[in-house]
Amino acid sequence: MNSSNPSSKAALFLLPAVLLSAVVFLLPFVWLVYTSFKTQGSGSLLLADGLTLKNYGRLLDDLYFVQAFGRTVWMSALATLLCLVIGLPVARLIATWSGRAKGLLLALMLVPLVSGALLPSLGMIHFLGPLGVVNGTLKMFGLIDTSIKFLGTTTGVILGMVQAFLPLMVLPLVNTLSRMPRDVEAAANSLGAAPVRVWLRVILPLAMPGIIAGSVLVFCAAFTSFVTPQVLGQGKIATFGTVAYQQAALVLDWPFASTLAVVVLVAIGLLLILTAQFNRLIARKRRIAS
Amino acid sequence: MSAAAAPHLKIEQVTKRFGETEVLKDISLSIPKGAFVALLGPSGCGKSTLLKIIAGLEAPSGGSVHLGGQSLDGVPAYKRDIGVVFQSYALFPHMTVNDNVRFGLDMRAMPKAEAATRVGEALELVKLGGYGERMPSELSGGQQQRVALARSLAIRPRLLLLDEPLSNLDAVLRKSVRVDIRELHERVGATTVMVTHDQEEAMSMADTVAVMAEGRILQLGTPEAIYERPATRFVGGFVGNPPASLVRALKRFEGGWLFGDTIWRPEDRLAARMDRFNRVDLVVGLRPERIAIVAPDAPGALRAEVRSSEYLGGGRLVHLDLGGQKIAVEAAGAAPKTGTSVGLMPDAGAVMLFDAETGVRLERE
Repeated sequence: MNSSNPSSKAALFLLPAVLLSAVVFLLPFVWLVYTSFKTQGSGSLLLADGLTLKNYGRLLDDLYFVQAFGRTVWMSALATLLCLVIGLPVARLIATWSGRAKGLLLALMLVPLVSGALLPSLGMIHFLGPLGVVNGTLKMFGLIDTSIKFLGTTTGVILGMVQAFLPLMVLPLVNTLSRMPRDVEAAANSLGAAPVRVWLRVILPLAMPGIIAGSVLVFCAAFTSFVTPQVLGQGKIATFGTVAYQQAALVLDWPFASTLAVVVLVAIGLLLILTAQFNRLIARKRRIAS
Repeated sequence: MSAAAAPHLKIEQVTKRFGETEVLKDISLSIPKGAFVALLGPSGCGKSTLLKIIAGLEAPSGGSVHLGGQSLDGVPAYKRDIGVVFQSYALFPHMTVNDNVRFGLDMRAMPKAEAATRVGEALELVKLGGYGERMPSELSGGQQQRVALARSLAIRPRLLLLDEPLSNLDAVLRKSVRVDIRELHERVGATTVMVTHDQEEAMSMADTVAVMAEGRILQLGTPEAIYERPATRFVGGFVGNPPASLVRALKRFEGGWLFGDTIWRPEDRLAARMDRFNRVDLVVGLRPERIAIVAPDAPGALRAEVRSSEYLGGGRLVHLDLGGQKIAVEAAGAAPKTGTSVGLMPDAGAVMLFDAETGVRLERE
């Protein structure tokens, strides 16, 4: 036996990492899926014997959960769209800048990502609250008389999502916009394309990989978010994340909470598969003549 | 250039500053319709900036640009009808060759059938008929460049700008594309301004060359005039392949000039020319191909010592030391031995004399 085979040695070094991943990631995941097909005995937290689809049936039967699912989808979609609209010009600005200013802007974009979900959300309470910055400014300019209610409304939660997840949109966009081939904008310009048309015909199509990546990231983050809807929704806005939390931590119905988690995972999995297909379609269209 | 014809492109006193640095200093240039002008200069001389200003991609700090009698002040690039071929070609990677070439026509809302004909014509012109359905990434560098040319020509531009069109091609392709572009110009007749740092490109392709350095045009003229009668020592030392050697000569006595520790007594007519200006020092420009290697003690010859030589195929470029200054000579036949002393006999008619202080050529025909 050739014990000095370098690849088998390398595999040996990888073993601890593989084991760790299996124990802390794969096992709980399998357990989660397993639990979603179980029930608890009445008045007990212990799992009853036998597998059942009861939890999934309950999910479809109860309008509360279906509505929460639908609400989460459209709020996440809207937050994604807003992130895209805000993110494109910001990313463009960062991409065209260079040196120190670019680094500083990128670092600023990273702050919400590295500071966790709670701090920015608490900041948003002060920003959006009845006596907050937004209402104060609008009143100062005489645009409103009474405070706009942001907290505990879907508007507030969506704004919070945008604030929290904008970097997930901006970073991939900066990446693609920075790698735009040299002079294509100038070329389009010299061929007679006004700035708007340069955007529509050249910049946006070339930025599509970044747009797709950013949108998927923001949508998934918003869809699975818990802290932002919980803090800014003040318990009045039921999203899939908050509902799952209630079931797991308050109702202590772990099998049903697992079912909700599995549904979210499957939904995101489907979204990722669709995205991959779409990306492949674009790539093929670009390689082979249309 | 006939004086009667109104210039097609007229650049008047254009300046450009980026912060503290002055990139263009008072550039004026008139180009007649149908001309092929090369802006030639080393990198950083401002030639690309001037091209961008003409295209409208950069705004001048001062001065004006007129095209076909109209001022281009404040006219955005997309309204100028000026075709630009970029150094990087700048093809749209997400569009087919056809769509790339049609882009400018779409912007002008040309009917589909007409546009398709025009695209076909443009691709035929650059010998790329049948490549329309390819993507740019499927083409070689030379083909991509021809697509870029076709794309600019399809809009029937009032002016065609080429930014270092050959710099991304390999040496063999460069020579053939040079001829292709020149022939294309003969056929289409589009007024063309090309930017290049390669004097061979400029001399072989353009019918007028503007030599630029440090934000100024030093000389404007036909390739022959630039080569035969450079206006400054910079132009003489930049143009020609290999360029002229520039050596400083100190006057020792009537008819005697000193190079380091070597005295040169040029033949009478040349000596008279050199003495005519009453200078104690001169810069002498000598073309390597207009010097003969003779015996070291031949009358009227410069004494120099061989340092090294390069074999160039058709001949040899010999580098010599002339009293501490460098000089190059083209020689046929065997290489003279390194370290030996030889005589250099310049062709008196090709000797160029420049003011040692200002660098300006002393004899103007």
